[in-house]
Amino acid sequence: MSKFLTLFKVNLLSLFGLNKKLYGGKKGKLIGMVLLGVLIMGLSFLYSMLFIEGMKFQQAMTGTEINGVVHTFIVVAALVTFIFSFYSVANLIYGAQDYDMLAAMPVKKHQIVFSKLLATLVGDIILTLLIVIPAIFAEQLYLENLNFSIVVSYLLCAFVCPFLPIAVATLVGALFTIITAKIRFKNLFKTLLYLLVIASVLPLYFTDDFLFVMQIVDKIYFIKPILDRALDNVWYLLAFVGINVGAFVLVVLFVSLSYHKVNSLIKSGATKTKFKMRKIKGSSPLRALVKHDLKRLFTCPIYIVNAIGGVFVSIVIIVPFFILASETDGEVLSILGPFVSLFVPAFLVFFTCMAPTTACSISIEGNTFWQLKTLPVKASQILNSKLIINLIFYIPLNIIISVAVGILFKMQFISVLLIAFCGITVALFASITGLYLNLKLPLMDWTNVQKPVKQGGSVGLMVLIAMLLMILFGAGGYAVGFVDQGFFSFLYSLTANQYVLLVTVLLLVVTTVLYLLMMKNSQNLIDKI
Amino acid sequence: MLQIINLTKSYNKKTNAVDRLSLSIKPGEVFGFIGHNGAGKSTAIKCIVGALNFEDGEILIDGVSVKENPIYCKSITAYIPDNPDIYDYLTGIQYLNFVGDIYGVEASVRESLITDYATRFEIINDLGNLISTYSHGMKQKLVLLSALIHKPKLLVLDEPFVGLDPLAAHNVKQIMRELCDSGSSIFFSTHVLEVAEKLCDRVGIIKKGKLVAQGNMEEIVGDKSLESIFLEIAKEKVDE
Repeated sequence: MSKFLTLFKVNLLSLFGLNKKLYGGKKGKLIGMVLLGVLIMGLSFLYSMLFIEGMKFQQAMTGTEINGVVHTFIVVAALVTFIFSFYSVANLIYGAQDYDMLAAMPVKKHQIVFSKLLATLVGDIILTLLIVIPAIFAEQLYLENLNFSIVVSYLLCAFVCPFLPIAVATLVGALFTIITAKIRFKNLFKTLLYLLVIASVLPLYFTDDFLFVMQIVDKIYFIKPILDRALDNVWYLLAFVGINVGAFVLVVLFVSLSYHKVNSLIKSGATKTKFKMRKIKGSSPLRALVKHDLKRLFTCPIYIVNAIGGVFVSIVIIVPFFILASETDGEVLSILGPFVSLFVPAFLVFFTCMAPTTACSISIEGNTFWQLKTLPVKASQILNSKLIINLIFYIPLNIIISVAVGILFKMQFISVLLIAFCGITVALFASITGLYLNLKLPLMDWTNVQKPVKQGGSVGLMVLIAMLLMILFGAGGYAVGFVDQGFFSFLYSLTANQYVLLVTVLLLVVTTVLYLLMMKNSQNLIDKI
Repeated sequence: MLQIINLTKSYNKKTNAVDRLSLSIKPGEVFGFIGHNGAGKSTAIKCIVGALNFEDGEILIDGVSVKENPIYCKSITAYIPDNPDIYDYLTGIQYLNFVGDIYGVEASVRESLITDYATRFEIINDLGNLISTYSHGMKQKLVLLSALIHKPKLLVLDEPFVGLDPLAAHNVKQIMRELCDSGSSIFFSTHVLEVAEKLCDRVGIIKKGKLVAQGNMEEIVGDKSLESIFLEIAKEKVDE
């Protein structure tokens, strides 16, 4: 076997902890992975159906033709790949724990880089196919407009679409690492640079006419026009494949050039030789644990961007609604208010549950977990400190969003109070569920911090929970507002405030039960890791 | 100070990594735990310090069960692992303060102990640097220092001399003696038989999870050397 294939195989075996599941007596977890795949496909099918129904509604209202269902899902898959890798993939190349070992081996730089990125790509291709294949089925089922050549074109486009996002993400990460390599507070600067990239999406709203999220996505995914024509023109299809694969190869070559140089720079961090002891201030164990966790968060760019990134993305999504609301007549807004509040729980639950810090706060301890296990503190204190970190971000944010929505839509005081209460409950729910799942599905033996933050089972499950609850609460809100039939008549009889209260109480009950269960078994849960 | 009664730990429910291990250590005693690779030393140590759960048996520290009151047991114990995997995103002083806060060490006491031990270990000038910039030996010294600042009654060390320079190793031995003189007990595993021979009041030899010999140095060694005893046991393992 060639050196490249050997490296690729080793990297592939670490993907989703595959080797551990095969040889670590955890074959049952493989079944779990397959079920997770089925769940993702089911969700994608559900979203495809909703998307087609939405387009049919639009067709009925405006007469526009329905097309581009699978296209849209390919673009979404490319965007998901980019979001999930843009601040993490460079960690595979730079500052990885296996650098010393690999650098000492008789292998070429591009073989190391290529094998690592290709293994990542395999995971992204699988995810893309899990998203796109159900969309193809949905399109055929509802629109019956597909033939063999179109399906082949769709699959080929889906297969290559992660190449470009991975290439761009690697390039961005590589440039940021090179820029910050010599700076003392490199992690802080790198975090700021990543947040700057996310924030750079905001000005797109103010170009030309008013744009909504999918239009922004189309604008960012600059090869969308080529994808649109790839189905009926083989040259466009080849161009789409060529751009994706070509960009990937070019980036591999570029990163390979700087592989040793940048890693050496990172490894030789600046040190001070004279330390002056200052007056020490003591604090309580819980405070010490929280301080330690905050320090961990702020010194790990991928971890902090993952946490704050969710906050940023939520702002990016709601800004257009705020702009639209500010330009609308006040009387209309107060009429719209109750309808808006019906969908606030769905929105809050979506972005709060997407990436809570707690979903990987145990895994991120990695091989230092022995320290927490041997400290003379209660297991419940350790868990509470982890919860506090996530709540520090999401409770204030959810309150701010709720109040802002309430003021903009001229809601009654009680309505604002209820959605703020809902926001706090959602933050508690996300924090506690994330931590509980991470305790049950820890990923401790990683060599790269990207793995616990982005590839942990608990992290993936939280994304699914976010998507499921958004559909559930969104559908519930829709039923309360618009569906006066059969079973839904009960929901239709509720007011917006009653619906928000119902959702909040349900979530609060689940959260309380989960918290009590977790605290009761806290020592046991930690001991098992 | 430390009492282990029929400790049994299994990873796969078929073979026991530690099998009905029993031993006890008095206050002020240094106990050396010797065995070949994979004999079960680290597993036993991790059970003592609460890093690993165990199925059967009992471990008492200062007369208190580690299962029934783990917090008390941990508060009077310090553990130094064989591989100093610590929070490398903290500076040395931040790490020491973190440990100090958790163990409730008064700020003024902490300050003087840190200054004293860090000077002896020659890492005082590096305490402001990130731990990620430390060498293996420096990390080992820092972990040792963090263990000493809360004045443990029981110090548990897993291969404490790996990665230390001769001066640091000498300092560690000296500090271990000082701790014992002040009434603390020390339980440590080692491959350096010469150190065990010179430093320990008593030793225990573990093989395939079972304690095959224990006692004071004269009882174990007799007129032979500890090395020859150890090699005899290791040979028995090959013959089996």
